[in-house]
Amino acid sequence: MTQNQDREKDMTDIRPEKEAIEPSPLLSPLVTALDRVHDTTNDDDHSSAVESGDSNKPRSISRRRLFGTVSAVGLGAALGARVLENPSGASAAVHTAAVTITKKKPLSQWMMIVDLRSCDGCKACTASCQYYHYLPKDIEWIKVYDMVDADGQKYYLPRLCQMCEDPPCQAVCPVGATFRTDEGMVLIDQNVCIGCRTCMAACPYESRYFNTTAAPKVPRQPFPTTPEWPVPQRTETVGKCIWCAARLPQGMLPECVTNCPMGVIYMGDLTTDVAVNGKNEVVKISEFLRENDAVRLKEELGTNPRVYYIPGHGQDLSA
Amino acid sequence: MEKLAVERSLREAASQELREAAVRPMLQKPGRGYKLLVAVLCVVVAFGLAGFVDQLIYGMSVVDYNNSAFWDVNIANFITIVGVAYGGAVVSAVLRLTGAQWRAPLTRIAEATAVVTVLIGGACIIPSLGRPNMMWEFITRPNFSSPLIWDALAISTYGIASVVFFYVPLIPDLVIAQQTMGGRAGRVRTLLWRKLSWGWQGLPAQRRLIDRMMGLLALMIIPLAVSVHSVLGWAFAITSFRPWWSEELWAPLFVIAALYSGIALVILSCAALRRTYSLQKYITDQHFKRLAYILLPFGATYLYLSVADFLPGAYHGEPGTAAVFRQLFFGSYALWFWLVVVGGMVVPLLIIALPQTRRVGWIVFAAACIVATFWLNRVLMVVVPTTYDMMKGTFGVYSWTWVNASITAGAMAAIPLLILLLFRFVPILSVTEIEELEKQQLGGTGTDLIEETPEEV
Amino acid sequence: MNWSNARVFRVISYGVFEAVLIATTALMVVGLSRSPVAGAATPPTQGVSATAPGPVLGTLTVVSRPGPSSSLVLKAHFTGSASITKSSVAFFVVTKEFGDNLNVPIGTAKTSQDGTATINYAPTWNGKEQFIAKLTSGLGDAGAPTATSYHQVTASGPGPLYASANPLRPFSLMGHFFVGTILTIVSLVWLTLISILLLLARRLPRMAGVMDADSTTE
Repeated sequence: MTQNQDREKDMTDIRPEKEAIEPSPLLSPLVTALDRVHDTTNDDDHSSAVESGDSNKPRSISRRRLFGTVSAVGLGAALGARVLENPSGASAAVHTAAVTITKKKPLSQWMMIVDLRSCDGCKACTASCQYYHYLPKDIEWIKVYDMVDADGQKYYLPRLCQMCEDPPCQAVCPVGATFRTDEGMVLIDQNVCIGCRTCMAACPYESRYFNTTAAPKVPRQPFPTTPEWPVPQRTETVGKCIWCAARLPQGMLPECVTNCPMGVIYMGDLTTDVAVNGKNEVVKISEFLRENDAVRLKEELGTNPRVYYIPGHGQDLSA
Repeated sequence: MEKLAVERSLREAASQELREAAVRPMLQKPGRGYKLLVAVLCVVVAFGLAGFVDQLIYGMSVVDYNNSAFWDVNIANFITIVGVAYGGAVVSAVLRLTGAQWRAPLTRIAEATAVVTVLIGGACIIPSLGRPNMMWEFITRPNFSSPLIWDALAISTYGIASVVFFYVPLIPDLVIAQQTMGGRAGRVRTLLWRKLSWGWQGLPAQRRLIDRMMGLLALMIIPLAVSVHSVLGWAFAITSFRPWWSEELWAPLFVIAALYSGIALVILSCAALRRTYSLQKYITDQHFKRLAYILLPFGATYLYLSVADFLPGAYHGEPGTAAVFRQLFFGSYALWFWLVVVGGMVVPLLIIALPQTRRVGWIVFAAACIVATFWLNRVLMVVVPTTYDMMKGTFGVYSWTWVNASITAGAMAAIPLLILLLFRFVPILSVTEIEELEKQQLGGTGTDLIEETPEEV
Repeated sequence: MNWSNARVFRVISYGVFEAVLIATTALMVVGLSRSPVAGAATPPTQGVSATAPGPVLGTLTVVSRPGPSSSLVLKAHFTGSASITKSSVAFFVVTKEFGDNLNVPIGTAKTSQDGTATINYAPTWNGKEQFIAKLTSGLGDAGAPTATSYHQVTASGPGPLYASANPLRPFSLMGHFFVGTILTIVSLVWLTLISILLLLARRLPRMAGVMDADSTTE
């Protein structure tokens, strides 16, 4: 339910308020640009807005959402409003200012770690995901690529949805069917999707699939398909890995994580810095990533994926 | 005095002949060949619609869809057919603004081709959507950061503009057609023309008003046309990180390709209509040569831009770009690619450049080559980067079924069909414009002919 | 079986020791449950000694660090028959975020001369947290002596650990102006087209009407 509320909030263009330290409308873009290293997220300053008592102020609309709100009709008004408002939708850092301390646990910021060192390419993750989400065989939300590295060594690369922080698929969706929740989950509302497949063109990780055939024999579901539980997949729309978004709020790990016999995939929360794999091995994300030289896929594209890969350092991984 | 009278009667006879020629598609009893052609075109279009219905009922699986080739020939049709709509804009608007006098007999055909192609082309995107029944969401919940929304905006704007651009100079001609045909026009056409001509009487004030509007429209239509194809190019270049798509050159490439193939289509439709309705007196060989001359710089520019597009990527050899280019140059699409280069650029340009081959037959052949290969070119542009797997660097297989093929054929067949049908309702030559330009050339005061006509009624 | 005196003595002493330990633990647990610490201002919470299967006894104390920063100091004290020095102690905080209780490693430290290992830990939000210290040197994971402590965190540290990259692309600053401008242009084009049609539809008949009127007056 909370997930749903988050989603609705997101879709009605309301994002948590963010105030610039300096409200000067001309300078703040520059300030923001200079200050980008410590810039806060769209997502994690919920509580600071609540604390500073700004929740009643006109909410600044995040960049993508703004595109959605400006309609041809209300154009002039919107333009005027934008000119007067702080033009930088993303403001300078909140938490770099004299710190107001978070009193409660913020929303989780989900992330995943894939430890390629121990992946033996058994594809149990793919199978369990397909079984759990009633997907046909050719739709692999988590796909294990057989790769060969520069030295001719074979290795396996499980590819999930990368849950980019700046998802290209969301930007190019003409009808806003793809959206990003406050917890950093990029989801698809298949009731809205028109099946134009532009997002498939946009995704540099090839993680989106178009549903042509109906899912294999899905039992009757208690409620119609939702972004968090898109079962059965709507035909003629695009679907993708959702990190088992319906399970996470209940403290359950995604299906691929629990079913990986090697404990390759870790599910984590960036706010608590905790990640855990299917074998209940807990790691401290920051240290684990640093010690193992974790990388992200196609970092140069600026999508800021939330999946970290720990490369295999050339070991022979063929089990 | 007598000489003047003779001259005047001669001119009147000539003008009567021109009017008869302009309404010939409506007067001529349809021959057997014509009927057969229309029937065949109708069958092909119906077959295309059947394919679309089949896809609607059974879903995208009937087009042999696979996830490694997610965009297909429908998108290529869309780009190609919207692209050839450029011809109208160029021949009509650019030549109008530059004051090229020879344009007059071509404008109507060019504008009609533009209207028909932009409508059909815009419709071609529909079979590409998974759920076309949800298309209203483009209006109700647009995401303005998506290039597709801008595509839709640009094409709908251009479509409306080209309809207006077609309609406004048509107003005087509708009255002339009514006068020429008289009772032969039939009730439907008479009513339609009377309604649409808004009491046109050829008054100087009315003429001035229309001239002003046409000047404005001609100014507007050119940036609109450029924007449509730029946005189409950016729909690829912005959307995706895919190799070859994400080239900065794609917008100009698309614009030039559209101009090039658009003029080629105008040549084709002029040739076909000239032959069908024996308009040799008005659309002369000289017109084809001039159109071919316009073709030449655009073809050369496209060739140049293609080289500029390919050379850096091929030289750097960045893995993705290199893979796609290799696939194009030497891989499984090499035959088609080189066919485009040779058949779409080298051969037509040679035909036009060489004085020996600069004759109508050859020019029409060159234009046909250009239209066909540029469709192929667009298929390559859409499909090859689509099939590239950005994770693994391999290529998927693109295949099609009768559904795609029939939709494509139907869309292509709908163009001549609609043009033929359109000229059953509007005069094929823009009589007013031809006469006006003739008068300008003669240097006469030129007030007699048109202003006399209302009194004849 | 070689039951030497020393060994018998050791078994008995262990038994007594164990009993005392269990009693203490039980008392502590009862005491804790009786006095809920909600809202209490950072009292140095008493460590709860946990059972150790071996001779080693551990205590974990969590205190707020003095000063403006609100990090905690976790002190684990291990005592045993032999002195426990230079052994490494792993500290954990327990999370239920992923279902079962999971021990999240928050740091390790070596014990000093008196068997105390200390780390600083900066919690990020309020709540009652369970901390665990585990003596890891030389012992298997299962047999490692542990000490547990609950602590009500009231002041917190640097806030959430996560900060979005929030990439600044050119369009994130001027995208909406861009969109607004183009939309304005497009709507102007539409307006012009419509007004051209309307103008023609209104003016042309009127001009014709004027002409008719003129001709009738003539």
